[in-house]
Amino acid sequence: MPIAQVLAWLSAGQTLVSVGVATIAQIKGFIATLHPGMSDADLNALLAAIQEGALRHKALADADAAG
Amino acid sequence: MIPTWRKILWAMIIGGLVGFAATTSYGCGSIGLKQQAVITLNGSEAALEAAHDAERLVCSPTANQAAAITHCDGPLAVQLGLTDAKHQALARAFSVAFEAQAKAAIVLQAWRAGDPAPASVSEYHQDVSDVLALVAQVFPTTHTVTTDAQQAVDKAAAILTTLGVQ
Repeated sequence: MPIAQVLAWLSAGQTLVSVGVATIAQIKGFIATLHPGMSDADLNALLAAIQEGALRHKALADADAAG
Repeated sequence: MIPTWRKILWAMIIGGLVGFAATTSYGCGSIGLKQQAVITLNGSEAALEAAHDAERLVCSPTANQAAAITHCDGPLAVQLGLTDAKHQALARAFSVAFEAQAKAAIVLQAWRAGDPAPASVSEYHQDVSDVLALVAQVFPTTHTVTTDAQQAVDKAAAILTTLGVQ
């Protein structure tokens, strides 16, 4: 096979790889938009906020119940 | 014989699909359940807090809502029969539910997909159900106190489903 033809195929192959990588990245970005996923640190921060709110309301309820 | 360019093309497609599946499936599988449980608990807490705030506002619309409310003098409280005694009984039930909610939040921090469901979550579901039962004795089904309490119960049940309990 002539070298020019080989180079042409390699160039086409590189183009295909670039297009493929870009397409997969776009698909992953779309998936991330639908299913962003929270890190464990984010989840634990949210749980800490939940705990704080619950304890604040518990304190109010205890004060009401004490009469 | 398969042309070389077709071999290269198929290799790219297969390699890309395998890499894509590997990265996305790990993300969905290991974090999804915990995230779902935590977000649902957050929704349940918001609903329970809303029910609590609404009940106290009905009890005494003019009282300082950030301080203890021990006497019900609101016009709607009188109309519904929300007496001081009933308000204090509701307060005790809310206190138990919020304490269970705080415990559930603590245990969920350590929970991982595949672990047994924490008992605290079942206890929270029971306690918030007890709140709803008391609320239903005073407030109409359409009142925000009832609908918020019902939402808190529904979301507590949803957490149990997420954790595989029911």
